[in-house]
Amino acid sequence: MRRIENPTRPRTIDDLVTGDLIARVTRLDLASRKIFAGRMKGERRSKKRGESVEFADHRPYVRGDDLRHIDWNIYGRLDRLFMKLFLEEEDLSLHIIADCSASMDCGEPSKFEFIQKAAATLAYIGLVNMNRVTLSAMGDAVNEEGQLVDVGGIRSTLRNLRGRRRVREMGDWLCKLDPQGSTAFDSAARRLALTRQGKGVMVVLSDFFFKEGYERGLRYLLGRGYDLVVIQVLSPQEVEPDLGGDLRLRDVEDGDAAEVTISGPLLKRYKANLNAYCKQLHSFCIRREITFLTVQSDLALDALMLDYLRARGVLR
Amino acid sequence: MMWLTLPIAAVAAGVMIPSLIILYFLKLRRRDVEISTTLLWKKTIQDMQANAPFQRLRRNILLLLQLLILIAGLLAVAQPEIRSDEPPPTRSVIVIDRSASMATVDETDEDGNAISRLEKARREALNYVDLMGSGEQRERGNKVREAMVIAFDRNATVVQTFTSDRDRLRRAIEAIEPTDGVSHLAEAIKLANAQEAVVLENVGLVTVPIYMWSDGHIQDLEEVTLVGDTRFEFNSVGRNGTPNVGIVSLQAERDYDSPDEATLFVGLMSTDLESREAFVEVAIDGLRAGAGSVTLPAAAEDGPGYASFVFPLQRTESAVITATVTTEDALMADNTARMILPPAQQVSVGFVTEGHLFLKYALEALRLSRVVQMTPEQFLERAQRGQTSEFDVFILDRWVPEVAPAAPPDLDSAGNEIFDPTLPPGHYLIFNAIPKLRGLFTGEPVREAPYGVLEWRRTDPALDSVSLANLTYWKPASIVATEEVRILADGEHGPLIVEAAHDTVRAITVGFDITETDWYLKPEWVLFLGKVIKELGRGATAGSAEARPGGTLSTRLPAGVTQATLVLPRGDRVTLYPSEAGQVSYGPIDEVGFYRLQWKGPAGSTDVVNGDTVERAIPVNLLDASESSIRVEPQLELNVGIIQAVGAGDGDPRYSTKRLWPWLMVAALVIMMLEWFVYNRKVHL
Repeated sequence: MRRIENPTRPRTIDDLVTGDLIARVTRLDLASRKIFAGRMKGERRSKKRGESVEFADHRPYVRGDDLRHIDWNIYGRLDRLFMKLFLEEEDLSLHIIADCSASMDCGEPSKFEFIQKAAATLAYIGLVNMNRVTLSAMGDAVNEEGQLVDVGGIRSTLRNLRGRRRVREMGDWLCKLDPQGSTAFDSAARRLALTRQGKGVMVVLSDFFFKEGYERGLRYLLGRGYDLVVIQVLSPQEVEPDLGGDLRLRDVEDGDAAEVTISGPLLKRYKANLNAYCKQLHSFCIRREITFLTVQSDLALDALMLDYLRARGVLR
Repeated sequence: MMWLTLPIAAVAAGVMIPSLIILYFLKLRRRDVEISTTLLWKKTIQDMQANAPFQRLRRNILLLLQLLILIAGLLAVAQPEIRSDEPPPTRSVIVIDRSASMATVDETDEDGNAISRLEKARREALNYVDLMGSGEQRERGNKVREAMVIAFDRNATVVQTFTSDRDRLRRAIEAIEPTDGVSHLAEAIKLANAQEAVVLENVGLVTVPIYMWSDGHIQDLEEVTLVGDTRFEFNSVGRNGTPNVGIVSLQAERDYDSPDEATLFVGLMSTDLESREAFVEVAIDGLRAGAGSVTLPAAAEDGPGYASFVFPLQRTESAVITATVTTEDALMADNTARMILPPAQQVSVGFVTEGHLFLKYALEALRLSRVVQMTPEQFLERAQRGQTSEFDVFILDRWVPEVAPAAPPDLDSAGNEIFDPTLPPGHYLIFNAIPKLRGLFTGEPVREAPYGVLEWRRTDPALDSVSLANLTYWKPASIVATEEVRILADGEHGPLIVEAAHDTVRAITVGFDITETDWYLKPEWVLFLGKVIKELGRGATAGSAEARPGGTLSTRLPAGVTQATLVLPRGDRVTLYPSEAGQVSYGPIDEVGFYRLQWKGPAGSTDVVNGDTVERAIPVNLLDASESSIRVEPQLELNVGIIQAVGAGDGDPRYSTKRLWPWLMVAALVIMMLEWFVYNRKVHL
């Protein structure tokens, strides 16, 4: 729960995704409950009829159609021109949104490190399966003088990576992220919704402790028709606080203070509130067909990928 | 349980407990902790505050522990005590035995250290005083408890009159020191009753409960008189079966035929339940003269075992003899006994008579160094020439130089008349004539009739072992005596034998002629004559004296001594002024040992002359089988019945008070340590 002083950050993609993990997740691929139209040729069946070798349907010829796709066998039998349609295979868009606010830099192990690794692993899976991967960092940006600058909720974005060659680029981008400032989830979601082109799977990694609420932001994202996956990351200390005595709890993001005297009933009440909050988020997501799961930052990544996400159909 | 200073603690509690809670509310020293979000905490605090306004205090173990520390401290301030007995009555008398046997070391304190019976008695009595409550209770309208303290051995002393001041009572009890005397309780009871009568004369007869601490060796139980239903509690101290070997008698007798030889008899007693050997050392004039061992028989149920040790010695002069049992035991006061062996010298007598056959034969029968018969004229001639000092004793037969005047009507004022003594300096035994001496007068002639003796001083050295019970006399001299004269025997007609002293003259006057009695053929007559001459002779040769602890030391100094210094065994010095008869007294005597009387001037025959200083040693011995048998009596037989001892043997100390405040302070300390631990480990429930 408490902020970590001078944490060690991953420096390269190798720190984020270990060789062992790569070996275990390489055979995984992203799955989507919806079929989206891609932008480029890919490995995924598209809504569009295209030029793959797999037959899909016939339709009457209209003027202007490509003569190469006329089914001459049917013309011979029926003396009418029909077009032979084939299934189109396109790429899938995967958009990973990582919460980079200061609050993520708390807990042991750090929630931010977990998010970095989870994002890197998901992006890796997306890249090796020839999907189009976009990564966005939520949070305030820092200018050259070290001051926080409001950038509308999205600090930076790495767009449209594709192919195994971009893995290192993706890793470098993730490693450069530094959790600072606060999260304006509403504006970040709105901005993503407005600027995003194309549809696909969107994974949001955050603790979802937004004082202004998460509902409106999630609705913005839903409205654009994404297959939304919400992963709430909590530190073990947030679940079982290790606090005691008379404390002034200070919010790392906005400096807000709460004076508490830790006692048994207080902790009990806190846990009840946390549980209720998570349940509320879960219920919100379920009702809107958002894939939701809450994980602790001490969860092993292979368990997250191979068990949790596969069980929920995010990976296959 | 009692609370000694409850009001103070209550006031302190009223101030401090709310202060602590207020301080807890105001406590601003909170530790800053940065956390990811306060979203849930704020909500939690709101929930808690909505549910319980005092949530800060709920289950707050630190505050709880601090309150416990404070409560323990405040309880300690209230000084709680647990008392094992019912509180004492409003008035009571504490009587503590300080006799020799109470010095026996056979008790143990709470830590198991050996202490004397008196120390045990003192501690129990102090506990009893603690039960009385403090003087502050008076202000709160509670019962005021008063007590008085009497210490007794042979004599009783009020060491503290009735008071409710516990400090004064405690000081008085702590100041009671053991003496080497024997126990006589009657006087203590009289003192207690007398004090009560003075204080409550308007209230009527109220008997005060008496709480006595003693081992029960009380020699005058038959004289102790308790009034009505007086509550008398006998708190027994000491344990039975403690072995003690003591000297219970010491006597030296010169051989009748060869006075140079003497035999020393040492009587020994053992309370050991097994037969044992005791070593006796005899020292003469401070030098070891001999030693020997005696086998003492085992003590039986009914009493201790006795044995004697006989030591022959050859000595012409007087000697200071010390006999010591060289055994370490519970009671040390009876391990040494001392005595003075008088010199072998015998008395020379001047017999002034016109002729008296019975007296002459009687004197011849006595073993005297010299008897010279003379007529009154010859005596007066010698007196004029100043030659009377060559005889130790003069016997005047029915004649005196000048007869005492007739008794005045107001006898009391007559004592102040100044007499010019007509007798030359010396010691006299006068038969049937009344000399002119201070306090002596001639009364109306007594009718001739047979008279008997009513009472005589059996303990006086002059009449020691002499019975006057069978004496019948016919024509007594009519002696009238004031208080200055000691009456040794009272006959049916009046004073019969008196002792008068005036400066350098000491005279025992016998109011009958032996021929006018039925005594002259009886052996008591010769015994009487011998004792009186011996006593006068000893006085003439400045005899020795002997005393018992608790009693009075009394001896007669040679004529002409005006001041003497008494050196006590422990080294203190007391200046004494002899009476006209040369008598000096000191008492009561507290401890055994030699009391040395020193003066400048003439010396008696047993006295030691050092330059111009004369010294006489007076032995004081316990020599009391009752005190030496340190058995603890389980009961006392008094006139009101048998009083059973309470608190005898092993058991919880009587009247003990357990003070709880140290334990409360320890508890506070432990809780403080626990609080420190909790605070540091951030333990939370």
